[in-house]
Amino acid sequence: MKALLIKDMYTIVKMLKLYLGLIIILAAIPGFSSTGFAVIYAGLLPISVLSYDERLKWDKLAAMMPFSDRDIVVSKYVLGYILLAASAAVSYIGSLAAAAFMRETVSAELFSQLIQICAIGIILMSVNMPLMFKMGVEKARLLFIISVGFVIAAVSFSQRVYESAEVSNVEIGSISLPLFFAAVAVSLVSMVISVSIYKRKEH
Amino acid sequence: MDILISNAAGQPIYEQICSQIKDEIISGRVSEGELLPSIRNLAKDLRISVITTKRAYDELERAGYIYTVAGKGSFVAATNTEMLREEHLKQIEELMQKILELAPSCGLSDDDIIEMLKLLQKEGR
Amino acid sequence: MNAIEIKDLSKSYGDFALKNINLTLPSGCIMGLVGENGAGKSTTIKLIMNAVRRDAGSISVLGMDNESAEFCELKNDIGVVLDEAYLPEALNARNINHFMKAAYKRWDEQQFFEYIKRFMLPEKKPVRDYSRGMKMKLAIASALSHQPKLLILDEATSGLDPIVRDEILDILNEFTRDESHSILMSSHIISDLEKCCDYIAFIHRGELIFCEEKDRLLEEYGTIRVSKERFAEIPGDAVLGKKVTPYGVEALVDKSRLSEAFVVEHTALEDIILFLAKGENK
Repeated sequence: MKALLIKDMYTIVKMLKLYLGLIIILAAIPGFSSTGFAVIYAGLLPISVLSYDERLKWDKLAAMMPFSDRDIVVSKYVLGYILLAASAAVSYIGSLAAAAFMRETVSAELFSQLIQICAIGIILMSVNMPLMFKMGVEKARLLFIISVGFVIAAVSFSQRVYESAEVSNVEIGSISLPLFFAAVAVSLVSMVISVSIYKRKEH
Repeated sequence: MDILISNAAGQPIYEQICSQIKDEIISGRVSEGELLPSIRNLAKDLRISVITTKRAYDELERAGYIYTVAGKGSFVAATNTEMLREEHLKQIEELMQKILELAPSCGLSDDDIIEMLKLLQKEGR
Repeated sequence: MNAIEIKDLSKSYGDFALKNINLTLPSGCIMGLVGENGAGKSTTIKLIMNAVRRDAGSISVLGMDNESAEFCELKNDIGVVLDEAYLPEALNARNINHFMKAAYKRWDEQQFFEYIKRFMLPEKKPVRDYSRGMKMKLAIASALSHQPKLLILDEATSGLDPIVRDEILDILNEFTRDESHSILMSSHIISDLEKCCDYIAFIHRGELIFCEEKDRLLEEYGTIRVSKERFAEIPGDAVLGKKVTPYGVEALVDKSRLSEAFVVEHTALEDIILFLAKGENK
């Protein structure tokens, strides 16, 4: 598992430099939408790595190495979690730094916002991963774009609902943890599905 | 010890190894009790098959030229002249057998063969 | 012990089937796998590694059923080089070392870098900028550096120049100086296999034609060149393949079934295989 993460990290740093830079910049800019983009992009990086693996037919060599099918699949999810957490952390630090610079205090709902964004990132990743393992990144691309569009629409819609309904910050904050745990549950189910899909494949 | 393998000779490789080690022993270039290279090392050094080398060693052991101590390796056995004589007699017999096989195809009678042998002997001197 | 033991192995895809393969690679030996493109060599290798699941039969590798749960762990003892390197190409040799060190229990860093030097591979250049030959050399270095007991090479040396191929054959030869080490290798270059193998297995259209000791093959089979009249005298079961021209017959024969009156020429492994492969077409 560790080996697979090392390989994927190298791949991201070396092949997806631009992506990574964009994510860091977006994350560092304070604000809900830039943070949202950064974290969601980060959560989707494993799919880019998967696409790269697929082009190189990496699965053929992986099948010869002492990796179980479960390790190969789960490592992509773990990579996603790490990247989500890292980009959320960068965002948090960015906001703290900006607030300090402006001599303000950080808004109270920042933390719960971040957790909500992470939850959305995890859900997006979890919905897409089994499709990617089943159909291959190339073929699943359209579904992927649709799902991203759908999530962005849903988020902006719910934002508008919040604003028009003048829901208090406390109420928004109260849904963040349940949402997060729901996302984790979805990703666990997704992992089980992905592993069983990968196990049935021949390399 | 020199062992030279020829792929073009047509003689099976295990026979080449066998006869060359035999020659080394008969000529006294390797002496009684001397440790021979292990089957695996000889095979790898000569870049030939391990199985073939094993076959050669088995053959030598069966013929009494070498003996194997489990875990230690193969050693040159005590050679006695009687055995050598027998070996050579066997070879002569084999060659003669061959002559007898080939003779009819040239229409040679037994007397012709003996005549030929005498002629060769004279030339040899 | 046997390094690989395959019994009654079958696997079928839509238009291709591997039928009833029986193969045994004794520990300490090198086996060459020969066959035309699409004969089933790569499929056999994938089946051995359980990357492809068999329909029937049994496969045991280093004494373990390859469908058992512990087989994944056993892959630490098996070094595989496929027809392409399939290495993560964004990485350079140093990164590969870092990755492999985490992947294999007994990764020997020092040995890996020795091979890198020996093969004159750049350490800092990403693998995607390597030539095919360099990629294959890196894959071979990786397979050798985790201290495997069994090496499986699928067309690993094709595309390399003769000097490098010979160097690799030397390494493989040395590898089996340890009698617990074994190698299964497929190659199109039969002369390479003739140089280093103890056994030759010939797969043709999904079927195993033979799995024989190499030197026995070379001893038992030979070529004769005779007139058609003379050819008619030869018992049918002595002939394994023939080529008839207006001027005579060239045939691969089993020496033991032929009278000594015929002049039988030593035949290279490649010609034996060609005769047998075409003999099937009769």
